[in-house]
Amino acid sequence: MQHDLTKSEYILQVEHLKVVSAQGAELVRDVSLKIKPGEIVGLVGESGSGKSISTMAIAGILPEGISIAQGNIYFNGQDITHISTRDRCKINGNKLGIIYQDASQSLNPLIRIGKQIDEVLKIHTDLSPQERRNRVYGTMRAVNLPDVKKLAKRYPHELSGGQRQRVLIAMAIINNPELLIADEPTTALDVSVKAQIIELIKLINFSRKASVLYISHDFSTVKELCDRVYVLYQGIPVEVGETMQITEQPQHMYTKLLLESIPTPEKRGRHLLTMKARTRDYRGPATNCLFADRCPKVFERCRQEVPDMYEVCNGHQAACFLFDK
Amino acid sequence: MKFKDKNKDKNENENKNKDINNRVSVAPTAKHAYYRTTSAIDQGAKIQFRIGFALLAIPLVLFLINLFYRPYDTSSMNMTERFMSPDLNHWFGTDNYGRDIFTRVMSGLPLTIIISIGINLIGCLSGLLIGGLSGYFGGIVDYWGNRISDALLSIPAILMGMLFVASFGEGIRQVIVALGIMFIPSYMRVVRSGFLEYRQRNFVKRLQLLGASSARIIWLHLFPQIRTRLMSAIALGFANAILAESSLSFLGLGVPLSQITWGKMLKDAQGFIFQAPWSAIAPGMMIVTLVLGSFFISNGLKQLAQQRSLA
Amino acid sequence: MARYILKKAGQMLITLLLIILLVFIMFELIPGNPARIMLGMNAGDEQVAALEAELGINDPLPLKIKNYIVGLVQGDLGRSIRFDKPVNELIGEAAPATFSLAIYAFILIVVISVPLALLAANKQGSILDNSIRFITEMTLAIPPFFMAIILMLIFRTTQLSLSPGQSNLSSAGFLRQFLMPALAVALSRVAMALEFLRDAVVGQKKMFYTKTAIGKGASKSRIIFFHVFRNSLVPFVTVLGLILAEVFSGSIIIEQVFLLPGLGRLLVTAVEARDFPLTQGIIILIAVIVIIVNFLVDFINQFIDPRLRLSDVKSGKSHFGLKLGYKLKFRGDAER
Repeated sequence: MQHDLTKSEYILQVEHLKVVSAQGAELVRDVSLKIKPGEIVGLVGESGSGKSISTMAIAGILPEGISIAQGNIYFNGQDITHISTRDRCKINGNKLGIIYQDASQSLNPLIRIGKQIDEVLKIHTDLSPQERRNRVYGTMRAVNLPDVKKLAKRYPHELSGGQRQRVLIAMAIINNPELLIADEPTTALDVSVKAQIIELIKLINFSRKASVLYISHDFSTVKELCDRVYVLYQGIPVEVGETMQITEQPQHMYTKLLLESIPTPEKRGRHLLTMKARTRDYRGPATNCLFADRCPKVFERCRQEVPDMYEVCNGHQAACFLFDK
Repeated sequence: MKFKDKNKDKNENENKNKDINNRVSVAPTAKHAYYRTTSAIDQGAKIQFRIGFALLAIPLVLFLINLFYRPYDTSSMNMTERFMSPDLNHWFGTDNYGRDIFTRVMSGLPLTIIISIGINLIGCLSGLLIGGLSGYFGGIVDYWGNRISDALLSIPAILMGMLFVASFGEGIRQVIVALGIMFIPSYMRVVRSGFLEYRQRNFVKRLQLLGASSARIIWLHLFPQIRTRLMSAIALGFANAILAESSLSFLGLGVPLSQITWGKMLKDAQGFIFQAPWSAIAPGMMIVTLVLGSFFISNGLKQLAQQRSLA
Repeated sequence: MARYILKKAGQMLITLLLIILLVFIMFELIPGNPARIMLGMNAGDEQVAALEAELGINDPLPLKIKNYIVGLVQGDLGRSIRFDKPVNELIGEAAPATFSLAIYAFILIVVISVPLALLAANKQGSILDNSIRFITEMTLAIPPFFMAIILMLIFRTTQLSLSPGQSNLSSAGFLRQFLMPALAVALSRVAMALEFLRDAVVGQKKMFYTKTAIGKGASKSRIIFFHVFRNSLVPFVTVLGLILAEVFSGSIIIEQVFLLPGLGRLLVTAVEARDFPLTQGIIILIAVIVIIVNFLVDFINQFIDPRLRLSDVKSGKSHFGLKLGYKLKFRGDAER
């Protein structure tokens, strides 16, 4: 019933998603997130926090042996949690565009760039070759690729890293998707190229009215790009809020420490606050606050119960007992 | 000031030495990896070894039985017992001259094995030499090594055997030398690619900096890295040698007529294949058993080698 | 590209020269007088002298090789002693049987191994995969002539008269007639082709671009045929080139089994009669075919994989089998 209400409101709604491996390790424990139309949502966490696995679950590209154990994923109100491969093929590349982390490996090395972009159109539309070609060139220009006619005839290894990333973005947006998932699109790139790609995603969000789910471990790009942020820790969101709320007034100790550990000009000359190192990756079911071991403000209750999401102030939530009133 | 600098230098040197020692000891020697916890790959290799040795044991056990229990002569003919199907007296039946096939098959085993070992000895030693040199030194040595290997690879092994027989007449020695030469390129490739791979590694560069001689690096540090791979290649070469030798014998070339080989038994059996299929199946199955056993062992070793190169 | 072809052609010629050298050195090493060995002990001295002159046995080795190469270029391979006919004429008579058998077997290998490899790779680790691999491993251990005998037993006992016996090349039922010998040659090599293709497909399936393809919404079959299969072709084509040499030697043996009048029979006769020019001619012919095929393999691989074109021309290194394609580094231009 509830989902009917949200149908029009949210592009993507994930409820209590739990992803486990074949050995029973819980890679994503309990992730819920919502994306409104036109919104750019950030998903932040350290490696192993389950951010990539969550997006793989959303895009239906989980590796073999890893499966969704619980929870639902609604895309445009449609339940896509356990959707058939055929229906999945209709969504991916059409209404859902995906940009991957490593552009150099995400392109088929033996096929010309133009043909690879064209493949998306070939699968989802029945345009004539001429129309398709025009649209490929148009999209390539839209992502600021130079000399598109020549470039379309090149092979991936003849392009630079930034160009390859742009090609991937062109592939993802050519069908004007409603949601764009960007899985760390800037990690492998130089700083200057990074900024260009961030600007490009902003532009796409603005001009094509696509919502964006942006996954990163890098707070600086998230701050730059996102409207709202989910901070993930060991497969559970620990803090949710507007970007300003999270970055300026972080409430959860994990977020605070994470932000403190970023070197900024103001912190020059001071020691960076560092967290206690993670002792081990716990992959069993959560029985207490998972951050308790590393939290400087840990108290008795943290070791006994699993915290819920508690409201800090409008829309800003944190999974910490300090805010349980 | 000077003193200080010297001290610093010394410290640096010590650090460097420590570094070198660390790296050298971290070099993935075969032993190092062997004592790691058994993984799924190790298990897979173990199964392959078991199957392989079990298969190889079959002809061996039969051969041992034959050594002690040998009621028939290999060549004496007995026209009253022609084309007998397998029974308790003639385990594998008899052929067109009434000879006991079991006895004949088993007396062919040592020759086959001697020839295979000879072929692989020549192939392996020369391959090790040429491949090692071209892999380690590269450049012009490598270029000509490759050309020779290309040339040898473009003549099918059996043709080479025939060429030798045409030139020097039939004989076990000719077969061993001819096929041994043809087996060089495969060994060469294994050694060469292994050396090429490890030559680039840091631990070799450190050793060169330390002033270790090429011979020392090759023998003590590079060779152990490719040992498992080489053993896998030897097992494979053993199988291929048996196949090649039996093919030559089947053509009636190579091993002189007085000797019994499985290939020749098959050739003879072909004439009366429908009267006495067992006379073809027995030597054929012997070849298949030996070859298959070697294949399994080779595959097992290959798996181990792959796992170790990852370590 | 032109430079690369030239370089490869140069390597080809060197290889060919080495083979001719090898064959001639063999000649030199023959103990005693080759002419006498050829003619037998009863031959008179004049006959031996005449043959010596004809073969140029007393010429120095470089001259012999030069004469042979000049002849080779003109299409003259010398004169057979046993048949007293030009070698190329004899080869011309025998070659069609061997070539058609080898090509038939080769096609069978491709036709059998490709679908099986795709099946096995598709359900990697399944019972189907393991049984396909186990059975083909078994066939790899069976030498072609034993396979031929097994096939004979199977087909005869099931009353399928497929054995060609005394065959007739012009007959319309070629495919049916040659099926059994071709199968005998092909089956033992299928495993090799299959294993390489399967491993390549399994490896390519793990590559990240297949995920991109799923992200595009490509169907499973599209991913397999448009992306994965195509990218697995380089190692497969390379191994097919290697297999061709073995198909030839397999055909030579199988001809003996089925009494086909091909190069194999001719070669065995030549060897038994110690007919050196004929032996030499046949061996060099087959070596030339194998070399040309490997040249074509290189060429096809470049067509399939654009990265090979680049690296070969750039680095100037000959590419050694299939290793290169997968260890290439990407050349990154500076971002414009």
